[in-house]
Amino acid sequence: LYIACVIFFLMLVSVHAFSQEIKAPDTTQYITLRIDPSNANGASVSDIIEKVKFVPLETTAESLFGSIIQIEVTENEYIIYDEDTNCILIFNRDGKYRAKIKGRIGSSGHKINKFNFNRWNKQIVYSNDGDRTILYADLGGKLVKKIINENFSTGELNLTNYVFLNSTKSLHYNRYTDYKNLKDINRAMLTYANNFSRPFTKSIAYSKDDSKVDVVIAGIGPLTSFGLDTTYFFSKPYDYSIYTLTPKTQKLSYKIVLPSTVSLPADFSNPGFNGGDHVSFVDKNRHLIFCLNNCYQLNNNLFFTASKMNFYKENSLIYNLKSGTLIAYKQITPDQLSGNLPIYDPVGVVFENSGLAFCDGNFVYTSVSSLTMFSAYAKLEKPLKLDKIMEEYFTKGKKSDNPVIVELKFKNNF
Amino acid sequence: MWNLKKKSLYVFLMVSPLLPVVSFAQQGDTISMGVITGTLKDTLQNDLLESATISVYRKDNGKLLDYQLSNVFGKFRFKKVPIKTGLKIIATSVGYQAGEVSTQINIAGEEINLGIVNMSKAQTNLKEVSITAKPPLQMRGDTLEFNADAFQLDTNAVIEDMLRRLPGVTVWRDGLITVNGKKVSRLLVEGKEFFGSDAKIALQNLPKNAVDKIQVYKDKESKDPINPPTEMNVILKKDKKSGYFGKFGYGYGTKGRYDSDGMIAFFSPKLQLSSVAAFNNVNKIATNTSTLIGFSSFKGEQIDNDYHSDFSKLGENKFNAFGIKGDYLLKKNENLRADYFRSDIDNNTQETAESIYAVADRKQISQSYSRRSNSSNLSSKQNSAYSLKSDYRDFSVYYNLQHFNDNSSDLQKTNSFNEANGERNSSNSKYITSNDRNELTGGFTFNSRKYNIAGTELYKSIDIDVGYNIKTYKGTNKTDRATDFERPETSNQYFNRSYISKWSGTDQNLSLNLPDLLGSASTTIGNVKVDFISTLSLFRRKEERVVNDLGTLTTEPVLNGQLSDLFDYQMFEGKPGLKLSKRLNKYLTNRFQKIWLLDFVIEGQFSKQENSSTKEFRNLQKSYSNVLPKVIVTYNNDQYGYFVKTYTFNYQTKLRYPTLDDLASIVDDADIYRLNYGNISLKPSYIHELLLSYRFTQHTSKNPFMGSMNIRSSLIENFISDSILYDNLGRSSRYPVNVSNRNELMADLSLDKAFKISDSQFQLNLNANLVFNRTPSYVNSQYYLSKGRSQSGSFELRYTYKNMINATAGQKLFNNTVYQSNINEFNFRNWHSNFGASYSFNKNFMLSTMLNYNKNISTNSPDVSFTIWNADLHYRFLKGSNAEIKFSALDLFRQNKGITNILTYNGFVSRRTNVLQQYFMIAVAYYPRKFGFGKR
Repeated sequence: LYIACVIFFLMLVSVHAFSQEIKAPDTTQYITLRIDPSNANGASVSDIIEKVKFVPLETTAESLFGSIIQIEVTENEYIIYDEDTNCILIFNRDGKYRAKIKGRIGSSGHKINKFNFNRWNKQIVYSNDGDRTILYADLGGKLVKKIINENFSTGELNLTNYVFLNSTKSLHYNRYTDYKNLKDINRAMLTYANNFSRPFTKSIAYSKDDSKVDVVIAGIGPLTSFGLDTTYFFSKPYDYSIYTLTPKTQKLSYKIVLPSTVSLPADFSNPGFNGGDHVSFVDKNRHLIFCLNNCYQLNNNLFFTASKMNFYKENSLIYNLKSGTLIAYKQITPDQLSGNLPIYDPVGVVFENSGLAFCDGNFVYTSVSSLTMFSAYAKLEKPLKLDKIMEEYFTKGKKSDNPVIVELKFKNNF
Repeated sequence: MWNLKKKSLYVFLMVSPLLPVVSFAQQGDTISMGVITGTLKDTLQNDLLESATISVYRKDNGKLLDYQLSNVFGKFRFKKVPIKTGLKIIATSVGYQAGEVSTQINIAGEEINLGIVNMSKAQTNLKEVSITAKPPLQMRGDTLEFNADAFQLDTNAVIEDMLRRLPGVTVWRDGLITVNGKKVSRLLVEGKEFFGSDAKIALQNLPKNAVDKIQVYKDKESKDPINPPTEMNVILKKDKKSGYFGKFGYGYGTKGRYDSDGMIAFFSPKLQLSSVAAFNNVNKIATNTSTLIGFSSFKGEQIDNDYHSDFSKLGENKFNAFGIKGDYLLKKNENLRADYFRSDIDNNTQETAESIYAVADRKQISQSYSRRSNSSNLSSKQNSAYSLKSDYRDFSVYYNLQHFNDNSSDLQKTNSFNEANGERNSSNSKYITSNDRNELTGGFTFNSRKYNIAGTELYKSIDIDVGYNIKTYKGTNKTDRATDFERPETSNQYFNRSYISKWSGTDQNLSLNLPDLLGSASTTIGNVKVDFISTLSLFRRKEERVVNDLGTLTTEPVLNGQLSDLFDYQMFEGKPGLKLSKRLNKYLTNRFQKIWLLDFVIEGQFSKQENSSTKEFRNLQKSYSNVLPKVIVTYNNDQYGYFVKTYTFNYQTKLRYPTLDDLASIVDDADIYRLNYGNISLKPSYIHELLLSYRFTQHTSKNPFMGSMNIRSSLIENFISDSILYDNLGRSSRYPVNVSNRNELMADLSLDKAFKISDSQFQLNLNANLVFNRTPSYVNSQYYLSKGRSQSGSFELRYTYKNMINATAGQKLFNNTVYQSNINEFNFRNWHSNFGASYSFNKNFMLSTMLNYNKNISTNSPDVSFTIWNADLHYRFLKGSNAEIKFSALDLFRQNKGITNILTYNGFVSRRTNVLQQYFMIAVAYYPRKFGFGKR
């Protein structure tokens, strides 16, 4: 009987282990921010920024690339993904080229598209085949491990957007999916997993009906890191809400209220809205903000991008939580602090795609193309007060060179 | 999920070529100039205003002096501003109230810094904001907009006059418009074509004052999203969306010349309706309604002379025509159009010709020929089409009904001399022909494309292109012919025949294409796209030919059994094929985009010719089958903001079948000098064609440059050539024969450059053309290889100064030579020089003149040169300059000659035909014009 009881107890435990409930996030305490992007202010660089550093990336035949779609900044390296050449490039923090990982477009036709950096074991994690196989490389660009993604066809664990919690654990954003064998118990927007294979915690459930909602997102997100250990932001699609996630907690932190003229309809997230075709609605109503992305917090400053299908100048915003000042990043005017050089690239779409692309808890990072840098330089009145690096860049470089990394340390109070 | 990148990349490609437009100055005197700088800022929100428009006006009369867009830091800088002049500087930006500053520069070279010019947000957060002065240009999203009201032009100015003033816009001599070097593929008015595809009708009729703005953008619906064509759209003012324009003119000249035309065109947002008529005997001939509407253009400031008599047209011509055309927008993307055109051309031609044909051993047959002909050609055409367009499907159905009635009478006389035997003979012929034909064509096209449901990997619909076209026709032809062949000292031949033909037939074509057969599975074969392409054609013609020998007046007509025939001819052709396409794309963001397109087409061609006839030798049945490969390789190198280069390699193969008469001809012995026989054993010609081309377009806002070079080569296996047998009397019997290879090589080069210096604009065009060919043939059973060579070169310089002076000067040289196995050589050369100038004394009075010099030098003929000098004096009066009186003096030297030189592979023909010569005319015209019926 004792053995039978033990077996029964173990069975109960195992059932519980394989069907753990989906945790609801804590929404009891959050801050409501009323933000009207059209009323965002401009500023001079020195008004709101403490330090600006330009780092031109070395241009050689080997290191030449198109643009910075994704960047991860470590203590000693910049890790960059370039879609044009389908390469992950590694540069030293002084801009010198170190190595690159060349993507191979196989029969699946997938590019690398994105990578993750595990700062606990200093590995670059990426895939060449649309997440069927997961590859690990070191900071010298050398492949060190290769595993098969067992969850590829289950829909339970999505690798499109995830962050690391330690050397093996990860936190994943799962888009609404309706895989054939996906049970209701597994329909969760957030999943914590071990070694990409064993989900152990889930949060923010969605129903089978919700899985019909097609989601369009932009920029960096919905999961973003901002240099605060294992704390991450999650911006729920179509919801204008920013959640704070830790290995153990999920909490709604900011609810952003936008003017009705640029907000999605209240019933937009319903599966039947617009006949279930949410993306077409967003595409046709290009003046509506459909997504918050590139969300970071540095002390008093909350950074986020309010994306519309239309191009507009107030999309990348900095909100000072203490003073309530709202700054449009694109409206920041260069001044002496930046050597009168631009900190925003208006040419092309690089900024629209990646914007303020990374935050390490101290600096935020973006890039400016050499085309823009040289064009600005040609129009500036000489002589300029530039640091040695930039002087050399303008003397020896040319406008078809690799982009320049811009490191910005924002003031805490403005 | 859907990544924003694709969308944003698309937006960038839209915007980037349009960005170089930043500044345009209308002042040129730099000595008495100063500089004004400043920064636009919304001081309330601390925003610098990028791409806002800053315009400098004279304070006293409001004349626009200069304008530009602010840079990314809100800064502007005008380098050439007149001194000692009160200035008003107005800054505008979408969503902002206009900012205004007044200033004056007192010393030459002085620089005034206006500092921060404050801009305040408009209270209404709307796209359209009421502003005190419209900026000349602005970027609105991905569209570059020119606001018409910002440009002060003459009240009569039309859109074309405005375009000539716009920065970065060039209106080329051939009507092509470029914006920063990009060709404008279509000019639309309110988003649709304006009285057809001829942009000239909108450009030269719509007044600038009816225009709200002109938009320039990339065609978002283009099938090529990587390099979509540039379009220009004219937005009319709200109260000018409807209107009418037209012309009623009459001119009377010396020698009974007359020229009258009338046109009235009405347009509204839904309907475009036009009616046009023309009557003249001065060689102003059109073949459709749109061309006639184009002839009646108002033209605004720049009265032009492109609607002159065509002095190169042969014979005397009387032209009467009437046309009506309508286009109705049933619903959005649903359109109905109809067109009716009727014309009658009476032609009187008197022609003499000298011909030389090489026969053998450097001996030649020379023939002189004269002809007098009167003809009347009546044609009427009506067509209608309905089209329905949606995002992923197009459907159109159409019909076209045509009727032709031609009557002519010809008198021909030929004298022939054979150098080899001294034989002389002659023939006289008389023809009376009447011909009546009816054609009805109808069909439909349907195109559908599958499309991605945004944000998913699911597709809806299918990819298919279907087209069906059917033409039915019938006709009768009646010819009475009398030919008298005279030969000294021998019996003459005399033919008096009546030919009556009645025919009817049906041509059908069905095409079916299934693009992208494999869909996403194409990734398994290296992303090679596979299209199925096919066409099926069926031609059927039944004809009865009855030929009677009429003999003399007293004898009864006798049926000529040799020439009479009843036949039923059918041809079936099927062409199934596969097209494999591969696209390779290389780009670096903000630097370049390089695209390789590789197309390989493999097509089978199966055909069957069948004829049943009352003539045994014309009963035939032939089948052919062949494989026709085609390879196209295109390389496009687009260096953003600098240039686009395109290289094309195109190799294709085609078949040309022998016709029924090539195979089994009925030989009419009344064709004394040219008896055409058939050859039942003829094989189809197999044609290999190779094209190499290179195009270069510079993408700059100033001084655009375009160039192109093409090299074409063809090799024809089993070329259907002639084997000609000349008899002692110089009569030829021609047999079609297959010869081994015919080769041809053609090369052409074209360069266009425009440059503006202050108010002067120059356009230079250079063209060169080379043709070499080698044609095998037989003359009197002897093999000859004829080598032909022609070269031509031309240049033209066009100069315009404001809208006051317009001048052109050009030179053209054409040289054509044929060698026949190095035995005989025939050559002719043509020089053509032209000079034209027009001067507008004021907006109502203009003098123009054009001089054309021609010189013809040819083998065995004396040199011929002549000059055509035309001059016109225009005067416009009444309100809006709607009335015009014009005095024209044409061919003042009375030297126009109709010379036509033709080189064949064994001979040379030089023709002289009567042409239109000197006349003077006085003409009056009234242009009724009204744009906008409502209150403003």
